[in-house]
Amino acid sequence: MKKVYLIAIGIILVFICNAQNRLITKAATISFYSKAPMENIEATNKSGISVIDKNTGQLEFSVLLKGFNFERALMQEHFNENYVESDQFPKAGFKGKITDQTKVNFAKDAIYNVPITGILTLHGVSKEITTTAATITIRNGITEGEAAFNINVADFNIKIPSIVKDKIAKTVKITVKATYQTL
Amino acid sequence: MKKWIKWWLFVVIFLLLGIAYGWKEYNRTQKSTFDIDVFASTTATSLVKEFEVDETSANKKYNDKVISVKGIIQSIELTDSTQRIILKGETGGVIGELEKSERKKTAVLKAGDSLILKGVCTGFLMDVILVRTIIVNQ
Repeated sequence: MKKVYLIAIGIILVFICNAQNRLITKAATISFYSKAPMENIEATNKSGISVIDKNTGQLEFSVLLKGFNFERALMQEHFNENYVESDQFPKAGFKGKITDQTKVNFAKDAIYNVPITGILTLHGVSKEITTTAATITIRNGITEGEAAFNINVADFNIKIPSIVKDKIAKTVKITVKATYQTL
Repeated sequence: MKKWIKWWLFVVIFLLLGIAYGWKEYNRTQKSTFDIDVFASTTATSLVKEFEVDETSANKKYNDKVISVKGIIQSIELTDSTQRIILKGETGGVIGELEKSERKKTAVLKAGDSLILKGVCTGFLMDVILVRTIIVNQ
């Protein structure tokens, strides 16, 4: 019986240790921006989920495409119905890694530049992306993350109607900002 | 009036009406949640359960629809200038991203209070997420 208790305690301790190594937020701000002759396209989603494992540098975020808020309703409808087809593909996500997480001391206040590489899944297509425009900021013990990267919409099988093909940018800048808490 | 003048006048008026409609449609903003009828009323617990059991069906049923959700406040959060109220579920909860006009109403709310939220359902991550949410009762 003692053995059973010891094993149970061991499992609980491992679980607690693992949980403490993970940082999470359910309020990551994910925005995108594209500049084009016809119109700039800009939208923000403030309810993204993001998780960082402090030990391994594994990093994930996930977002609901219907949660992106545009200034114009028509633009939001076109985004969901014609471009990302959010009824069919409701989520976008990223699974990746801080290339060298040993550079980040989560116990010391500082701003750390952290190149990130991973797989972005959008519109049912997964593609590897890398960015050097990413930072982890430790401020008063709180971890904040920020990353930006550009994607080509054609890489994700997002078709731009031929009538507006030359008037809408083919590259979109995606920015992620998050303030994390211990899981 | 000559027949061709009448014809051209008709064409010009038709074009002007088309341009006016296009301009109005292009600049249309989101309709306020206050002005949209509720598609369904439910509780936070049962809504989360529906998404957990069959997310695809729940997405089809609720996404883009205005729903009212009754529940107990788990927390009220201020993040990146957005006010959010989280209603308790059994595992996940229901996150309501509040309309700007609703912020002042949160001052008298606290965790444990019962509340009905009305908002546009956008789907499920770890919680069901409502946007453009308003507080129906306090």
